[in-house]
Amino acid sequence: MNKYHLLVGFSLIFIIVFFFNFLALASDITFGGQLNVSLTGFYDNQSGFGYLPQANLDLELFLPPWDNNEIRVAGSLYTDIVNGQLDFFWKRLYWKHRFDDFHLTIGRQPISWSFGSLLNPVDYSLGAVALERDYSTKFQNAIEIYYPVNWHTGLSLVASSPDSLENTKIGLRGRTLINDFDITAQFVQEQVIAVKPGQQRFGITAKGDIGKFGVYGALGYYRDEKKSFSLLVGADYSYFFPSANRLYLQAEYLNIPPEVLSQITGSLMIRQPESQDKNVHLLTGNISYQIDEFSSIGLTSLYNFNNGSALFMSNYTNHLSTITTLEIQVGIVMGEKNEVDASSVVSWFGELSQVFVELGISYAF
Amino acid sequence: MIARKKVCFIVVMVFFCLVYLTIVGFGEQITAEEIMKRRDENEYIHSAYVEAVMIISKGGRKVEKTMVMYSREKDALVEFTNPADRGTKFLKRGDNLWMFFPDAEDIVKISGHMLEQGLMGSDFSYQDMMESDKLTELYTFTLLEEDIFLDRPCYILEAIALPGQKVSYYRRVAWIDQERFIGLKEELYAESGRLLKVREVQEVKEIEGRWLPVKSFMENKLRKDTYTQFIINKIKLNPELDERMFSLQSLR
Repeated sequence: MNKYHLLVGFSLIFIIVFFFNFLALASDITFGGQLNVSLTGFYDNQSGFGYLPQANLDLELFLPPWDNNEIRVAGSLYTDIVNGQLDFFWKRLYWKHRFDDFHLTIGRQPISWSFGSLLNPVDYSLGAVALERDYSTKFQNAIEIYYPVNWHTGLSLVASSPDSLENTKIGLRGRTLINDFDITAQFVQEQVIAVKPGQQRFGITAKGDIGKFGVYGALGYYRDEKKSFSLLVGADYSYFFPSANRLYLQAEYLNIPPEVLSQITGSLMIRQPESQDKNVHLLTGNISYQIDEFSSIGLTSLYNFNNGSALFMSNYTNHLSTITTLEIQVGIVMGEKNEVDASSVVSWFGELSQVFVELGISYAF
Repeated sequence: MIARKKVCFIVVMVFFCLVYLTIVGFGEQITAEEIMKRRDENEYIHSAYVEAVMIISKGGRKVEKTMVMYSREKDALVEFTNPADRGTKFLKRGDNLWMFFPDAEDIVKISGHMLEQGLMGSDFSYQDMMESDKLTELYTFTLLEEDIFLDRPCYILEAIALPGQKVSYYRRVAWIDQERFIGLKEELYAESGRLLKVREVQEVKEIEGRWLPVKSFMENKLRKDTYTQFIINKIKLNPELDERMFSLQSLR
């Protein structure tokens, strides 16, 4: 038994002990979750037209907290698009205790350091949250200690093992509020106990308001075999039509090393080999229009200044009832031959190469 | 002699009538500021715990959202409990708003312009829902007239924002219950004079010695056939709230 198994085993024993202590409160335990069903039609340059039905069932056991303790148990049953079979993964299986001075969380948990941008170049796990989509990489076996200093200032220390002990990483994040700007400073060391430690990431983010505009930015410094920087600046704004319908606009510019961008978006948008040493200049935008209380349309786009490739993704959302939501998405990737890596899109959006249309319904319970 | 006595009697009666009318008259001439002060004393909530349901309606369609809310002056913490939004939380501290995304368990500061928008798609803005203002500190008032509304005698007052005050609505016209000093109806206007929203109370209850609205609706006059009903199922005034309640750590 190696140290990784020992760590996981130790954490599980803790969780199981507290779980059984908890069964005394079984009358307050409830289930909930969400069923998502979708059908994706796509056009691939190589294989032509195709379609892919998908479904996933998120289930969570809601356990009442007791004595500053909290246990979260949640998993997802989903159709694996690679082998077409049902598969399962734990989203949450953790115990949290709120001590007087700090919070301790042990077990499988989501770790995300978003600050409101569409792409986050300084996240704990790059690409865990991108373009308002969450990915399973944010769920990790981890230990987190959160130390609050005051109502708006705190410090988080995380150690996690995404898959194996060799890939254990650590992160430290401080957060505070200065002149109504939310400021974070963070550090991540990938593969901390490997013979050859992985990338080090240092990042600073800021988010606040200037007049009627929301503004934000991030600076990243990456150190592994080479040293590189990233810069992100962005803004958002709401415009109200006389009919009270709202138009939300968000735009950001990202200057980022290609190998860092590839961790966020796959190799999408950065295919050209000659550009590997140069930072990628990326413009990302998001427009959404609220049609009424229940429905909205939106368009998200990325444009790579280095090679001219672009991605457009539009969506329509309609809350059919309190528990049912309809979503339609259309995605188009455009670029010269070899500038867009079709295979990367498969992992990013499901099953798609150049064009896809996805019709999905979700049911919450 | 009898005539003189009659005259004296009439003079004395007229004098007492004048004195009576003067006293009664002064009593009725309550000023607009006094009305709003009494309204603030009744309706202004320093701190509270609320369990509520919000029903968003358009045409025949309805969406329900349930929530629990802790508030203290200009600070509030709201957690949604209905299945589709379960675990979504908002923390408002002054003019700053944070949102907790339950799936990523992530806290993001929301841009200031979002405060004017509908809370979770409703006709109540974040400020409408998460603030309890002392209107006397923000507006000047004029008593327009008296009227009967929902079978209750009401004062109708106009409120205009004080110069330099940051308010959600430049002008308000409010129907204040003459006996209970609770706002039963309110028209909310933009500075341009355009009617934006109308809020009407459908049910009031006496809670801990104060009359409070427990069922009301907000109608967005810029849209057709749309309104949001807000129903308080449980309310506790001035509960003991942990100092850490309105902090980022309480979102986690």
